[in-house]
Amino acid sequence: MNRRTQTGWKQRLKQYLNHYRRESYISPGSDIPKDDRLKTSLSENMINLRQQFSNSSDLLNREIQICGLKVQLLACEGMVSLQSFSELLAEPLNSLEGKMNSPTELLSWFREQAVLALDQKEVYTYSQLFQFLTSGFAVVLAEGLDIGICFGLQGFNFRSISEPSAEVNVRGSREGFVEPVRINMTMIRRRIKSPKLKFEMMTAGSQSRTDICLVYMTDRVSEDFVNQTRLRLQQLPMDIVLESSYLQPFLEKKPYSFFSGIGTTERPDTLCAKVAEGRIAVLVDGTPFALILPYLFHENFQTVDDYTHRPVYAAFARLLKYLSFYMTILLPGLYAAIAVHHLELLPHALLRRVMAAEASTPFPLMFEALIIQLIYELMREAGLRLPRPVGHAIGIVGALVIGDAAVSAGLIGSPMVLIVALTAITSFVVPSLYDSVTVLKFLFILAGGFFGLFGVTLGMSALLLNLCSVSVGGVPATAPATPFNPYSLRDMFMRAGWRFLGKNIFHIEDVPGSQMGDKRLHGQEDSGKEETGKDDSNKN
Amino acid sequence: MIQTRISGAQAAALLFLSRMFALLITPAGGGQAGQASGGLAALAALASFLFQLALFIPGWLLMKRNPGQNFSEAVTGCLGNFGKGISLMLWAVLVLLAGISAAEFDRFLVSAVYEQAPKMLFALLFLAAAVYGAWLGLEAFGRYAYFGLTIFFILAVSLCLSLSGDFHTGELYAQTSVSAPSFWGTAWGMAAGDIEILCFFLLLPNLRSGQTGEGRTVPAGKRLFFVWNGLYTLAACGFILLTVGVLGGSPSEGHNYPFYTLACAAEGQLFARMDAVHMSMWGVFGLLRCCLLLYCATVCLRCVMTVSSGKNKLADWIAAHRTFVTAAAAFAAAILSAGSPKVLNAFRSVLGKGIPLFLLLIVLPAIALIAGAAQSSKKKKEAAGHGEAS
Repeated sequence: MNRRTQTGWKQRLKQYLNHYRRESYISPGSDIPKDDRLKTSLSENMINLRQQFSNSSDLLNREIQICGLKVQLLACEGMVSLQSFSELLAEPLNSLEGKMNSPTELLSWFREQAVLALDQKEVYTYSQLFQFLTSGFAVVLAEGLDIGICFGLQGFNFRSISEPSAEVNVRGSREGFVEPVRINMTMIRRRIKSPKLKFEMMTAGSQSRTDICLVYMTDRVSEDFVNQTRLRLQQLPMDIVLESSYLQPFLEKKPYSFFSGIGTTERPDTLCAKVAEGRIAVLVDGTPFALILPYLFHENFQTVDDYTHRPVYAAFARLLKYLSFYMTILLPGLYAAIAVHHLELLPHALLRRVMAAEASTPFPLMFEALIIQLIYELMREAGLRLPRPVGHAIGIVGALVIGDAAVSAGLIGSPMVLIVALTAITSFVVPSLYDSVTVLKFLFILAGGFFGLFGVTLGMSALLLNLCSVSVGGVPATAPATPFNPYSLRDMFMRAGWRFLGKNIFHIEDVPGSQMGDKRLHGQEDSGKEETGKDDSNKN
Repeated sequence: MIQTRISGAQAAALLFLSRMFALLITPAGGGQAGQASGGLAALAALASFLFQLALFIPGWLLMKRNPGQNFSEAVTGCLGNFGKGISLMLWAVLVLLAGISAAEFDRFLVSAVYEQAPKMLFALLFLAAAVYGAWLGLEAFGRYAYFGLTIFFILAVSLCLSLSGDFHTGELYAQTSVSAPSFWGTAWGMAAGDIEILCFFLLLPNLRSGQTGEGRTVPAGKRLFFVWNGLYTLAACGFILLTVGVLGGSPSEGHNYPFYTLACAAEGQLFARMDAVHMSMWGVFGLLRCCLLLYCATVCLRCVMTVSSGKNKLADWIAAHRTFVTAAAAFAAAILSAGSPKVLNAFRSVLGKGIPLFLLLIVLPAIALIAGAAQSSKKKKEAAGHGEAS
């Protein structure tokens, strides 16, 4: 009995663990039967469709008679442009009076003669019909036809193209991605007019059926990597996908890291540059943030402006960013470590000032550092969520409370205020790493306060080990620093001039240590064909 | 299955830093530079390269005979079940060394830097970080070794620059004569701690640059030995010369940790003293050493314990949780060594004499080679017998 109970407990634990293992994920099944074909009876089709829509009120339908044939016009509320609908669909259909004698004639007219919309599709199942309707297509169903004709007449409202808020630049394009995925696709196509650029549409989320789009260049991307990414997206165990960050953990090899091997951008020019290097981008409908994979760690320190400014200034700016990153995570911790455990490191003049400032405060230095960092983060969070005018007020109150009142009341030492202010500024220099550095800052204060420089070093070592273990698609995130490649360094700590950078095109799979297969999707085949063609022509 | 692989340069950096940690942290009289002093100690460091080469050759011949296999697999292949026992012994030695390295660093920190800190605290923290590194895998800490190497060069250059004013060449000639046995004894003492040779043989199949089409790792591996040991010999020689030139006389006389004393003497422009900076950076090298030893120990354990079809549940459990078992054993070794100075000194004196390394790297490969040769000649005879019979 006891043994049996133990076995049961073990099995339950195994099942529980398996549930959280990647391999055990089974994509939730669709609630629409895929093979449920449309019927020839219009009324039956309408009943089934209404059932699919749970009799939702946003499904609009209008039954009309064309040459004696019963026809249903369908659309989703607010998804179709009314003007386009009436001009491109309703008026031509009305003008057909007396010309059609059977449903098949109507179908052949749609197929061969009518140009009602550029994006015209035929659907055969309810699931397809549902997908097109909810994507803003207008659909025509006719009595006696088991086919639906869909017309891309989307006319929903969306935010217009504007400057990206999180990646502001001084020079270069001001365009940023918007929420509809198809607008974003046009922005990419306008920049890369190559036939090798491929958009691959998919859906993610068993309930939301969000449109996602893989973007890559067939002659530059690794075939294995595309297949692997596609498979992971197809097996996504999510019901609802509302943002690209929902997909991110499922595309990473080791999601438990402070740093990600997947980058985000809302700039089409950045995305195009990365795609041209043999990477894959993932656009998600409903968000302006696209994913780029793989993404190297040092790319967090690159901006568009680096490539528009002179190389000398770009290199200087990049060094500033590296310095800022390390200052943000290490400065408060190092200050706590040195001021608590290693005062002998400080020169005498500095030591006297630090001691004088800290002697008057009632709290231990580490506690003081934690408190003031916490207050700063609270103020930042409050300022971020509140309406802008109130946010400014929070900033003023914070500056007065922390900067002046706390120091003059003797609660906090002025060197500590200086350090917090400095780290607050430096934390915004590399915005893509803000989340990580905020948490790490606190961890290093604890490590430095408790264990001194040894604690900071040990923490930094663990962090770097963690970073070194990150790789996406077999590409180590720390390359080309480690594994080291001196040639790739030309765009890491410094930025070489365009004459030098343009000599060789950088491919992500050429990064040292990369285990990404170098089999390109069509590049090798195409080049092979070209060579064969040449040979053939010579023979001829 | 994609095998975990690192480049030869990463492996060289890893092995070099691991070796450097042992040199920097070992206290005076710990078997490193005990007898010869002054400039002769530096010469002994150079001569120790010959002993390292002698320790390398038998194992190398064994690896050459068994391409694509690590040391443990090669020994098991030649010696059968006895070889499995040897692999288990290798595991124990590596785990013990990881624990001792953590305990040594703990003792160094407590005696030189954090005098009021509780015992074992640093050893346990240090080992916890090392277990994390070993768990992340060879690629993670292999890549991290580059960062460590950069730190090492920055520290070495800053140390040389800040101490250049205090360097007295006369100190190098203070002791000009020493007996040959004591000179060679010092040289052997310096080579005796080279456990990295064993680690190298265990990592050999995981080296990327050494792989050829047939899975052979021979040519790059030989070059690698000369790179990492040559670099180490030069660095050790340089450090000894600097210590003698700055502190005077024997590097071990009057200084418990001679290299730490050297770091204490250095002054930076930004900081008043540099010793704490050096000490914390040495921790990076030590972490790499422990990661390496623990990883190699799991490699040995993998050869001994393979997941069977449920015949032996304990063996299956150990095979499935070998990193955990290795970590637990390393913690036990660290607690034992850090908790009792007598135990630590006993371990140190045994390892300092170089007997375990002599047995593991010279006697064991020799036996394995003989057994392997006997096996292959027996097979040849059998094959010839079958040929005649048919």
